[in-house]
Amino acid sequence: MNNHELLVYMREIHKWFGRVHVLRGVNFKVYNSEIVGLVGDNGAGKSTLMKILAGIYPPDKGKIFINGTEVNFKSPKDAMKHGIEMIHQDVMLAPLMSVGRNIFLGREPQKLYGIVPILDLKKIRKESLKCLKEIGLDGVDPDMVVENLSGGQRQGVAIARAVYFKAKLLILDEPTNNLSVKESAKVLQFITEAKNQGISSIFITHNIHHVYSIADRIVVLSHGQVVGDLKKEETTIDEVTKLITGETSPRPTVGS
Amino acid sequence: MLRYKSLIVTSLQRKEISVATILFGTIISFYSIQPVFLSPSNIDVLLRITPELGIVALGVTLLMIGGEFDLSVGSVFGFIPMVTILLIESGIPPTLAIVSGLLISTLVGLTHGVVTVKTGIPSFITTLGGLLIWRGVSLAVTGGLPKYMTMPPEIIFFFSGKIAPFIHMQMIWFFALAGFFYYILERTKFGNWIYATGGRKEVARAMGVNTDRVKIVLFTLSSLMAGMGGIIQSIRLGQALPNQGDGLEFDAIAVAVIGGTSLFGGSGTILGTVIAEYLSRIIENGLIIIRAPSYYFRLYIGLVIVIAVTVNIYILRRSIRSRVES
Amino acid sequence: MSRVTRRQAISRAAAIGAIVGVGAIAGIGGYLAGSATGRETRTVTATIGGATVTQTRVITETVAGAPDFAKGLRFTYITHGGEENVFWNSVHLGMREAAKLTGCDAVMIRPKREGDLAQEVAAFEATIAEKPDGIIVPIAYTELLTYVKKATDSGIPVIVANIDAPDPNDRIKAGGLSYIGQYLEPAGYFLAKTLSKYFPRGSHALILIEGPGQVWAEERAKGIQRFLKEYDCTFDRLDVSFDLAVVESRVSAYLEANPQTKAVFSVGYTSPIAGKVLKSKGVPPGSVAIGTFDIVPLVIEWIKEGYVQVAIDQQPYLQGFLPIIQLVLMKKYGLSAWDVNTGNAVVDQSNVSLVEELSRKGYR
Repeated sequence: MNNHELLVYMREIHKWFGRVHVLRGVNFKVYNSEIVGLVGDNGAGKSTLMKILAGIYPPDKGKIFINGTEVNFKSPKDAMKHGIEMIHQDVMLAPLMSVGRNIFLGREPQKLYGIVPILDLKKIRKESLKCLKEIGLDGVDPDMVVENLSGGQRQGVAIARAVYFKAKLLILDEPTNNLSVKESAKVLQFITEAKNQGISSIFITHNIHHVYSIADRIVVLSHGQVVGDLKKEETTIDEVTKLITGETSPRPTVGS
Repeated sequence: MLRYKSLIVTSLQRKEISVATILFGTIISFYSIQPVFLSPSNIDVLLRITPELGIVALGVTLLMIGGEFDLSVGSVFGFIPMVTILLIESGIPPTLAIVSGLLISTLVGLTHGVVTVKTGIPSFITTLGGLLIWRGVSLAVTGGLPKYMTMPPEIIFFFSGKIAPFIHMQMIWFFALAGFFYYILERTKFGNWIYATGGRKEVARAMGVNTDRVKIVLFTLSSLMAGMGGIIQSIRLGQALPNQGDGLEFDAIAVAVIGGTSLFGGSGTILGTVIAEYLSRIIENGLIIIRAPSYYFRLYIGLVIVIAVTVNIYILRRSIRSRVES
Repeated sequence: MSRVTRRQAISRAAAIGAIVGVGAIAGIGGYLAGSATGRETRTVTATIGGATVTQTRVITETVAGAPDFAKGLRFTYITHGGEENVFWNSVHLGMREAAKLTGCDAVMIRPKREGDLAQEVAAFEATIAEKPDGIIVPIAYTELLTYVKKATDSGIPVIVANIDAPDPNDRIKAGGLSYIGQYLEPAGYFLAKTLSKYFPRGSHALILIEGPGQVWAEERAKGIQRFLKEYDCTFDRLDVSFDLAVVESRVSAYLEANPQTKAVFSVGYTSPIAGKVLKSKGVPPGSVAIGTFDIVPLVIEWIKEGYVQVAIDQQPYLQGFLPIIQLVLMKKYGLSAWDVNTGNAVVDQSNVSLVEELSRKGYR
């Protein structure tokens, strides 16, 4: 990790759903150009924590800092403005539209013929191609219909879109679930490619094997609390697995 | 994979090809049975009567691509000319009355849109309400009687005049509106939003598209087109009938579907609808020309729906089967 | 916006070609086969609610084995009566049987939806382009006179049936050669006069108007009123509709308030409802005379009950049959068309059973 600047800092985050205390004072950090594996059993609070970071829920208590400045997200749009993009399990692409039109959905480039605005299809095609190449997504043409893409390719398009629009942090919710081994490897490659371009990722999963190969750091959540925050070099799959299942007692958090 | 492009292949890649082929086959069939079918006077008849309903189908197509239905278009098609006549009767000049009529049609559509979007009631239900309400109002104010529409000749010419052999004003309106709708759908941001809203609303929303606004605009356009078509028909026939456009909503949906628009939204083309509208009118006219009993219209149009939709689904399946490897 | 590969495109084209080919052959072949194999009268027997109903339906438009007399002549009947309109089924039957007798080819074009003027005009224009030997059309809308003129100008003779132009002179000016149907005002007069033997001079009468303001309704009402004045009667007009529940509540209220009423008329077919109201009050049949138009099950039922004394049938079968006969004679022998009043058929106790039987077969 050559860039040690703090990108995201979530401090003492609490969340209740009715009487259920889902997050109990979580501290969570992401540095620049870093891949964080956020692991934990089902119901540990991973998704809730990330939805707070993506602006989908507000926290009940706690603060979020981006690049040292406190932020207060009211909607996913606010989070996107700060460069945080959540890529859902159910990838956010319109199935019947072309890849190019999907990439630029909501941010379409236009040119003017006199006073008549017209969609710049040439630019969409050219820029889409560039954007797909950037993360190594070969074999996908901007004119292809999303419905005709494989699951891994769809993840790739979503990641490419986020990278192209200068996201600083990708939140990936179980991106390799339901994918073949070959497809999963592709997605991991896209994430690594994004990191090479200076973009951090949070990889949410309940299976450490999915993320271990590319993660720089692994954060383990259990019952709404951080039970482990470990640099990859300093831990093993075995240790993380035990932390997830609760066979080992919590280890102190890195750097706090 | 698209580097090899001969003209034929490029044109076959277009979605409209299935309906265009059916149209071509139908014309040939009618012509071979009865050559009068392609006589200048009959072609003139076809070109003259098609636009009115075609204009309505354009609005319905756009709305269906956006993922909603409008069952009220037939009633609005009758209601707006009636309103226009009432305004003229109350002393408003004809031009202003027509403009006000069209304005009222946009308000009608706006209402359908806002009610559908804000209450979350399916548009099938809200516009079914519209169907009954606007038809009911037309019947109530007229007592079921036709009302005569007397317009100055310039206005009649403006909406349904004959410019040259085979060229009628309503045709120009139809093509101009079709061109405008094509531009909206394929060449603007808003068109992209329509496809996304109908294809997957959550996606469009997540990407910052105001899907509610998209839908409200589409409902408004749909009603405006229905009002426009109705006014053109009333001007051509010189009267507004309280039952004018009765059942038109299903014709318009059928035309859109034959032209390749998905019933589930997210997919469809303007050109497909234009071709399908001509197909529908040609079947109606051709069956009269070959002296088939009128019942055959339903049979044939039903057949065409099944064929067109089957072909479209076949295409969809094939394209899914041949997924590109990663 | 969607694109497919070349291979897909070609296989798609092949599939479309095959399907369209089959579809077109099936559609048009079906029509031709229909007219080829259906050259006979078929009897359909069905059991409905335990009772066996035998219904004769003519399947074809042209019938083989028919005489050669008018062979090759083609006539087109254009109407506003939708495909489900029972009245027009009788007209249709009359037309087909005339075609069968003379050996000509006759088709009826009915709009998908009752009274769809735009569709009727489109059919009229297509028919003029097709140039048949004669056209028959009711003037349900005065707009249609424009097309009567257009047809006449292009050399196609036109006969008007069922509904004449509000002013018959307009029809004659447009070229309509004759009118075959009910004369509405005289029909009203005739109904009132026929019913008058069941109520005394100088009585009070009620007239139900099912279509206030509409030409057919007002004309019939005018005739009824003309006779009632001659017969020294007083009368009230009551606006109703064809909604039987509405008619029942209004008539019931009226008769309650005006017990001196001795006769009830309707310009449509709803006055039998007055019989129903009287029966429920325990008033015996015949104490109030009831007269109505048209032969529908409601009318037949209440004639049989004895509450309705007279119904005037406008004989739709004749409105289909006679125009064809006239056109054939015009074409074969150069005879002129002539006006016919089809609307003076009286239905009462004496012939109601026969009429019921014929009505079921579509002749009345």
